[in-house]
Amino acid sequence: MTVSNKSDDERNGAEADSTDALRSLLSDPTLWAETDPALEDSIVELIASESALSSTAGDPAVANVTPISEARGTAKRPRLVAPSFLAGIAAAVLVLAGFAIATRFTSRSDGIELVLSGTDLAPEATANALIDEGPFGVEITLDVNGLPPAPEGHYYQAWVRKNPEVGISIGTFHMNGGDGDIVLWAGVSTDDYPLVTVTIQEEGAGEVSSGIVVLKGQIGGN
Amino acid sequence: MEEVQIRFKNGDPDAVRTIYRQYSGAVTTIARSIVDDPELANEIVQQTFLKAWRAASSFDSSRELTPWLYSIARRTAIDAARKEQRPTQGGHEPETDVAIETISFERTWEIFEIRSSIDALPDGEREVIKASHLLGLSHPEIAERLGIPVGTVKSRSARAHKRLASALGHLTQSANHSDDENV
Repeated sequence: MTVSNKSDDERNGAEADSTDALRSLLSDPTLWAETDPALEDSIVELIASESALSSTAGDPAVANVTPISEARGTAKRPRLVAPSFLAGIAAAVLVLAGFAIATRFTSRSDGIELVLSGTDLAPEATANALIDEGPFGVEITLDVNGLPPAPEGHYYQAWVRKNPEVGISIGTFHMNGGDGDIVLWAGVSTDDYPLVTVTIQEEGAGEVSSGIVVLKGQIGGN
Repeated sequence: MEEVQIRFKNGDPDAVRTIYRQYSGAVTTIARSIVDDPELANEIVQQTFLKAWRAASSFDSSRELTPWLYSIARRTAIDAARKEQRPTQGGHEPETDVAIETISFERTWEIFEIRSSIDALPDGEREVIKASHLLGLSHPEIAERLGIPVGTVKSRSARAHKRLASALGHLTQSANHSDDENV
């Protein structure tokens, strides 16, 4: 009898703790944020419009075209699109299809894409790199996922390399804000420096690569 | 659900609405947890579903849709927050380093799960839960507000809490263990 009462008390205590924890979770006002009712129709019609363009144009370039508002460099804050404007947007996208705008970014030439894989030091990390050669240099945008913030006193550094021994730094970053795009620049052609690596560096240790590679990829090698 | 995902990938309007209605609340919650501006949050929601549709061809429909959509929502929100804070014209301090402070991946996932569980409740139960936790109303006050008997409020509240406790038990257990560690 005593044992069973003690079990009931423990269960009631656990339930009370669980209820209190649930109450704490549910009291955050952010959880109850309302969605604009106009969004549903807007999204449905935008998708229908793009889907129709992809299927009727019959050109892979059209299927991969990204609307103007998504093009990097001309990026404006995307606005909700009212259905009555969709015909105009669809026409504009069709016209621009012939100029082969790279997905997600404006490019001064056709971009090269490659995938960087995490090494044993960062097995969960990946990065999609888009390389655009332009009049000022080579813009390299890394879409990094799964790479944790650099530890205190350290930072990440990206490199383009001819080979493991000869490389040029293209920039540093820390990943404190989470996954996302990192824009880097190279003053050399990736035709001559086809290896792309990311190392972890210690602050104050100098400019030379630590050799501690967390991400790596090779143009034409993936 | 897999069939809906395939139709969503094909741009079927009904499938788009189904996916949207299931996840719009959770995606909105993610957006509002990262940006304060409701208008920007709405744009994030719109861009999230557009990106999800565009990327749907590369999504393995045998996998869970929820984590995949969550990651798109979070990245879209962070990108939007960064663009809003990036200086666009002259007049800013030189070498300004704009750091976007966002809540952690784990916390936003937790928020996504909670909101998804709330949205999965029957309408009547969700109304009671919202009135109880967001508005802090008592059962009699909820009954008066919703125009239903107090007994109905109590039974809906009990069912809803049971459903949420079942769906979110792993989160409440983590909260309890954290409290224990702090003793």
